[in-house]
Amino acid sequence: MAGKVKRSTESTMNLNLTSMMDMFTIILVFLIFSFSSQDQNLKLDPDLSLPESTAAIEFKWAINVNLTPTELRVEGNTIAKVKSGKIAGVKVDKDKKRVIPLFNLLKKYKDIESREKVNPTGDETVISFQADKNQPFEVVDLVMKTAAQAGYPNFRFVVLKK
Amino acid sequence: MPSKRGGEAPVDLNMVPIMNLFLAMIPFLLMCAAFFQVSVINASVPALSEGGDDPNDVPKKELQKVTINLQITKDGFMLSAVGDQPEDELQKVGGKIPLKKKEYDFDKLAERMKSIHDKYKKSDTVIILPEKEILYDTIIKTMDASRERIIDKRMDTREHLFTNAVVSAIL
Repeated sequence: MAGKVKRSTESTMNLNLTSMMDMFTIILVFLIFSFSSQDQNLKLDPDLSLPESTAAIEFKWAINVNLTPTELRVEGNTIAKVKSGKIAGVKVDKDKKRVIPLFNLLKKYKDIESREKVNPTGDETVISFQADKNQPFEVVDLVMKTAAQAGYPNFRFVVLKK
Repeated sequence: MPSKRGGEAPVDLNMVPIMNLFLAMIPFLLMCAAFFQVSVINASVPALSEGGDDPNDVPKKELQKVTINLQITKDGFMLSAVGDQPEDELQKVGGKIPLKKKEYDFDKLAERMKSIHDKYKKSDTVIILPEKEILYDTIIKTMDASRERIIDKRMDTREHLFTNAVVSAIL
């Protein structure tokens, strides 16, 4: 009499990777399309909200001046505090419309530039200006006039592309 | 008689290398992804000129060009024109654009700037004069309205109007 053969009841379970592959493919395609390489890296200041604009000129190298709701910074270094839309805590020459520490710093940059000829593109250095969209013009004007007096009358307003 | 065998068993693809590729590429691309597109607007402040021109030179009258003074007040926009044209002609160019439902009427401003530019084709300079309480966002939108007109958004076709913006304060 032939004995009954016990069959193995174990079976290997195959993981269905189709949906995961689908998800990865879509994410990869999206990321490849949004990949962008720029010559210069611009660090957006996280403490301010840039205004939106239809402007299309690409960003180029410049001296970064950031006017957040609470601080005025040059190349990441805090120069002055801002309170209720006015420069505070530092000397401001109201007659000449000049923020003294900002003027002194930019004048120093200008002197270095003219002495060392540091501008790599050979063009005149401009100020790359990031300001919070809710800043009143009074404080923006003060910063711009100070920079102009220090030898930087040309600006690039950094905006978010609409 | 030989029996016909059935179809071959399906071959399972080895997904490990392709998963490896995805897991390596996705974090790299995620770090490089640009979620915000940034651009710039060129502007300047009025600067003192260093030397005057030769007083014997008679400057050539430029009748195809005007410079627009665009004041931004809390009541709206006020335009005036400066140029070599007769005074009464320049006065016709200027005017007020009041607020529309308590908001600045950028569409009307853009239309007016376009009509001025169509009449004086060599014009390219606008002097923006905001009051001190005017927000930076409003100034940027004013620059947008006076700088260019988007003809086709899909093809990014633009008509350049007053591309040279000078920002100054009302005295």
